[in-house]
Amino acid sequence: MLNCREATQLVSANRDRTLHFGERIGLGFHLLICKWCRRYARQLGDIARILRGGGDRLLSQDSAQLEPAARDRIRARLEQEPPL
Amino acid sequence: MQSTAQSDPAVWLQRHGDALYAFALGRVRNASVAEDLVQDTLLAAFASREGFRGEAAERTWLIGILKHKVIDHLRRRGREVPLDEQHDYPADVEDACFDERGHWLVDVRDWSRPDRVLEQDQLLALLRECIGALPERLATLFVLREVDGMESEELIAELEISSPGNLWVMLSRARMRLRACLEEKSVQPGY
Repeated sequence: MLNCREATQLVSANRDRTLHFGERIGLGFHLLICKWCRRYARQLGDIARILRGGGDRLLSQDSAQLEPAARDRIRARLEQEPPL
Repeated sequence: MQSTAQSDPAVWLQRHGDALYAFALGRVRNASVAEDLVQDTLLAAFASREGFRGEAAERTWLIGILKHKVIDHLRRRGREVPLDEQHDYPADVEDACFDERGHWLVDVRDWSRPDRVLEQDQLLALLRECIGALPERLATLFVLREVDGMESEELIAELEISSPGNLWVMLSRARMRLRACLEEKSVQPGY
């Protein structure tokens, strides 16, 4: 019988690999009877859904802009490339 | 350098520089590394511009190149500073969430309750904060897996993770920490 700590590890692993038969049975039964781990599984799904919906915006922050000095440096480097 | 207007890296820099930089920064967490990756991407794109026939959006194409650059960087860094052992990331959040018999010690809330619904933007902002609070390696793996959709096999191979078990434990710890952080930061009054 899985305890909740073990179950949450399988809930997570289930997102990254195929659980083997014994793991699937054990987790399936645990989720049937444990609403907290069911909620945990749903929460992981919610997080994934939020990320899929806003992934591009997630990591674009106001502070994540190239500073003018950085742009200049990059532009200067690009101009060093030999002409066609 | 001479180039047509359609394949001018300076134009790419102007149009896509910030987006590329944000993408890189979100995965390498170091401003000057992120800058270098943007530069390398634009140089590589210019070198391979003949192969780009505009099938995808310009930005999508550039991000694709950048993704490879990011992975290369992470792989090199992983060789310098091996960071993928389970003991590098203590299970302190798990220890706080479960008792010695593995039962939940904390309440696992129902996020679907109407009084608990947050706006998408609020959730994204909280997620951004909470991902930022993760140890760097855990954050990187989580983002590559859940935002970029890299499969386990890919991650293990590309980042030279010593054992698949380590990857899955690290992702599990990242998720457990994220969940706890989100719950903590999204406490609604009257719950």
